[in-house]
Amino acid sequence: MRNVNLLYVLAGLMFAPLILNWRWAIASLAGLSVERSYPELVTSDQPVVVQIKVKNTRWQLASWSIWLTDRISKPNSKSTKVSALIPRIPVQNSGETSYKCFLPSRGSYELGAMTVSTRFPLGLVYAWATHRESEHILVAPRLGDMHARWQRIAYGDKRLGIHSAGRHKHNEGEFYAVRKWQSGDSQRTIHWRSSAKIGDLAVKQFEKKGDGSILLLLDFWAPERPEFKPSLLQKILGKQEEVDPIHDLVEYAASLFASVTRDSIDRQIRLIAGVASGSHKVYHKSNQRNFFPSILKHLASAVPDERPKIDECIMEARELADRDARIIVISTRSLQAASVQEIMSDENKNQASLKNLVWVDVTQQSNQDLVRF
Amino acid sequence: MQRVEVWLRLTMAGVVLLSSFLLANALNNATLGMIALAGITFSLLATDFWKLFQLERFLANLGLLLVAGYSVMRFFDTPNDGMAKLGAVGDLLVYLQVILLFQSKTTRIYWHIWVLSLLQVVVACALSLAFEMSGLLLGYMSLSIITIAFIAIFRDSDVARNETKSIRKKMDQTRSAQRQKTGAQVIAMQQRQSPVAFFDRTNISRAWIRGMLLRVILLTAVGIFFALVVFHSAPRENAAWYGPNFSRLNSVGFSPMIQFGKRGLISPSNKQVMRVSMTDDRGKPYMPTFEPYFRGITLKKYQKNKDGVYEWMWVTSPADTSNAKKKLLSTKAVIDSGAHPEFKNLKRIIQKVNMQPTKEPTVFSMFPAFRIPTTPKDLAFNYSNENLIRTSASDETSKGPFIYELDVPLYLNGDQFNAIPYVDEMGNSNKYRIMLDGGRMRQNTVKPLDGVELGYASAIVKSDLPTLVQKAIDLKANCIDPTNRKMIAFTLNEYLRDSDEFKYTLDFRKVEFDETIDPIEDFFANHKSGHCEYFASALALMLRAVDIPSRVVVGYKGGEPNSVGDFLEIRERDAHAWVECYLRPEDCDEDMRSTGQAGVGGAWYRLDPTPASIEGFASNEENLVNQAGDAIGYAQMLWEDYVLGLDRKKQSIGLFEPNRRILQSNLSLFQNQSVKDLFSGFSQEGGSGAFFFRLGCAGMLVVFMTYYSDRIGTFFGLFRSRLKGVAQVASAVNARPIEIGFYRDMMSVLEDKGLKPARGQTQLEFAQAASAKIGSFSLIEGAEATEIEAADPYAPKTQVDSGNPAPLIQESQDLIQSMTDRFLEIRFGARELKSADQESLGKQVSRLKSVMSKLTFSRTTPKTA
Repeated sequence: MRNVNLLYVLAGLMFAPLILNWRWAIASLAGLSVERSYPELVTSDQPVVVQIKVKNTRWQLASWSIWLTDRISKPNSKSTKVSALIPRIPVQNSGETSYKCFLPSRGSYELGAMTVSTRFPLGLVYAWATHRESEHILVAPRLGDMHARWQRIAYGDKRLGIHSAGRHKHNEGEFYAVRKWQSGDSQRTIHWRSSAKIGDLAVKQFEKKGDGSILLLLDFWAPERPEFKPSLLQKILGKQEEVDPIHDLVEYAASLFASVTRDSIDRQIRLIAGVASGSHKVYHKSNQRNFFPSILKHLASAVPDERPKIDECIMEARELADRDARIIVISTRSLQAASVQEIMSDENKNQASLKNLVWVDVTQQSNQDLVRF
Repeated sequence: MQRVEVWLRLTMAGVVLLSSFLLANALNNATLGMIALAGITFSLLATDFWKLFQLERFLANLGLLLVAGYSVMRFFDTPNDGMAKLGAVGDLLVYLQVILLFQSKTTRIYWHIWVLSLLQVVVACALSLAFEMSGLLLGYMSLSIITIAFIAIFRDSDVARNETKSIRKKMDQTRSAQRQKTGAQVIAMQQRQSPVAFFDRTNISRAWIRGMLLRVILLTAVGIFFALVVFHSAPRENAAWYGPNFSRLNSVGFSPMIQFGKRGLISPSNKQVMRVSMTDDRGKPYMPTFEPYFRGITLKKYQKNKDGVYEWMWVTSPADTSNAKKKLLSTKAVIDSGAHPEFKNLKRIIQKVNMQPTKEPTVFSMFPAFRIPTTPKDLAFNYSNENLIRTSASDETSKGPFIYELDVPLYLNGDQFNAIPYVDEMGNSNKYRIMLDGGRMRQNTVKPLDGVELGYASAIVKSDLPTLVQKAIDLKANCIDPTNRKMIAFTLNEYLRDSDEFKYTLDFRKVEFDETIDPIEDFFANHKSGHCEYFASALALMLRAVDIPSRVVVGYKGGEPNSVGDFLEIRERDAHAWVECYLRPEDCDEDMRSTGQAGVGGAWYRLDPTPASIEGFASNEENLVNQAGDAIGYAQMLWEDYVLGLDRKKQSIGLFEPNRRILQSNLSLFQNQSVKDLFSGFSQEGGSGAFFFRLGCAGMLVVFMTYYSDRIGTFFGLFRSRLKGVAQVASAVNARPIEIGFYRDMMSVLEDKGLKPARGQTQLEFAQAASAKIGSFSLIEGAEATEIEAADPYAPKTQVDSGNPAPLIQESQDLIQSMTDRFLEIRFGARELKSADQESLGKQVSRLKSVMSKLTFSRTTPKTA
């Protein structure tokens, strides 16, 4: 071997940036604290902005070019990685960034194991640190617009509620919420601040007693789902659980239920909602804070059951409604299969009559297009 | 195009240009540099900025394959030519790079281009680079680091942009696919989709680029310093390899003959021949006040060659020196011989010569010169021609400078000796058993000049030189003492040098030569214009005309003192010819004998008849230009000696040994004699120590500059601490500074509401003042709606909106008081926080933040419950 000094020089000149880059990158990550902020509850396919705030607690050395890689995952499904950049975090200061995500299905998503990384300044070394605390974001069923057919199926010829606030004077009811602008709404009812926030026109709604009320119930039935245990090969290949069509319809039912609930609220129909799965819960506007968000939250985490307690749910809901209230049950099985005949005979004049029961079986093809997305 | 990409393209062009120039220089192939230059210019304009055309990936790959195939063929076509093989590799690297330049640029392409440029520089460095190229190498490395940084910035912005683009495209496709589906089908499709997420804020601001560049430039400076330390610390095993280029660029254009007949203007070359540094007996740099004569070869035979041109020639062939070489005498041997009593009292200097590569064996030195322990073993004295020679010939491709040290005696006043002792050529069976000046051995066998050598040194064809011979005879006749050879020689020398009859010139354009006569006779009798060779030849022949043996000596005289590096820089323009006349023992005075200039065989006395030589030693004026020139010369010395030529020995002397001595010294560092010796030793070691001392100072300066510039030097602190690794850094990320962090966070929340502690206010006082102030807060209009709308803009109004801020005010006041109490307990009560407490305090801070976000300062009276 020859003693070629220039190659020593070159090696030194290459080695130095590598070492310095390594030390700098490691030092840039020390003393960083990470904090996420995101809406607790979103609906499926709604854009979600996750804000990330990184604080540099060091007294020296600003952090540059910090990448934050988040993993969004749901049990038994493929996780998604997303990276967001903070160009600079000054000493004793914080930097913020955000990313946008679309969560496609109902349930609880895990935002976990955030990786804070940098290649600064030369990109020769990749240094990372993992923030192992995971957080969860609840995703409610997707909300859609109801098909015109829904009115006929659910309410028959009787037109319940009102369709828009614009057709009523403001003093006819109490302002209680905003909703998306529809054709025909008066410009005067536009709620500008909310419109600016959501990036779409929103109008104010005024509560007014409807001409009738409905009991909207979800019979959350599904056959037991075998536990998915992917083999090593399947894990490597990213194999996902195969979804039974009935489980797709379960999700559709949840989405239909959520959409109907919102639609009813928009129409100012007096609504009593109930969800029956392994347990049941009935929501009534007069005794529930955040009525609609509570329902959405319940739907987000609801698990279908082989024996949903729909009969108990109906019984409880009936007590809260007028006798002429319509009882609409959205289900993934037929009325016969639900075995609610026992309570059908239990008529009480102070309760909603079961003669007004509408059983919407989503397994029927005709019911699979009641909501449009 | 992003701003960062413009910068990246420009710096990348610079990197490619520098690397290709370095390679072209190393391969001595200017065409390669021109191809790269044309490629860069054209691609930058046509492909990058004007976007006239771009090579498609397929075409580019095809081109790469063709170029690679062509280069492989060239590589194997030259089986025994290493340089040609390297040339083929170098060509390939440049061609590949040019093709990549014409492609659409991605991060990957930029990396490929950069890696190719690095490979070019590696090849160039393997072949060695001249000093002039060292600047380019440094420039390449600096620009290269900046370019890598730009690639990193570009990648950061490019990755996010491309990912966002592809995700948006995918989402559009999904949405269009959902349009014709029923609600249930859409939901079913969604169940099979993965979450989609993207980041689309990738605007890189100018301030960010500027801030980052500043840090990269600092990093470059630190990196260069770091590289120097690594370079000089890495242990060496072999002698340094200079590469073929060094020999090509630095070979000395020395010729062992004098040939007349050259017409026109002679332009002296500035090519460096050698650097000579001198140190006195105390190890301090010594700069002579005279123009030193560096003796090379002696020419004794004056003859007419076949071409009809008169020339001086060697007595023996220069190649036939193997039998005549002999080890030089040491100073000690001369002193021990006792032949020269004053020799031990003379001033002596150590002359260190760094001679550029040459094919000639002749080396140069002030004379007489003696061996010392550090003198290379392959330096010998050729008794045939009485000159110093290098006996070993190293590999042509690795031939670097020849470095040798010799002991040279001077007069006490610092002047160089005028004579050297005669070395006898016996002419018998013991032909070459002669020593310098009859020393210890066979003093009785030493005889004055005679035999063949006398014949050569006395030969003259007087009929060819009638005017010259007649003048010499006349001058001898008019001499004060015509029997004293020394006196006669002085007279003849003065005639040529001082009579104003002869003119020194290098411009022969207007000189009328008479080519029918001997050129020296023509010079002497007719045109009287010439350079040192004419003057020396004339004097040598004049001396022979009056029966004084003489010879012409060719070597170097003077040189350019370098005040920065304390050395003499000898260039080709310093080549000189002078005369040595033979003085018999009886012609030598006592001073010559006692000082060792003359021996029992007599002496060769130096005479310099060239008029220009009496102007004296031209030292550099202390002006900026000269100092800059000296600095460049010094840098060149450093480059050749300590970059290209750093070997185990230099490393040991210059670095390891001083460090060892520093470690051995005690705490009173600068009082210690050994440390004093160390610092004085820097100069003794011929500048190497001084170099490392300066290097260390420069390094320290860089470190301090870095430390105080925007606190970047923090990572130097990290070097001192134990490297903890990524895993522990991860825990550092998770571990929030709870202990005082919760109080700091609380202060931050309050500060957002304009509540800051006054000067001198204690924590408790501040808590009370803040609570009082919060008492006048009111609800922010629409605060509750804002919170709910974040989750769902269509949600109905909640019952939170009571319009009454009192509960929130009360809660915030309680929280502030509680956290302040806990802080005081921890800060002054030496209490420790348990993890449960930490969690609780963290929640309290969050709660306070949430509550305060709904309150604002109001001038109106707050509502009460």
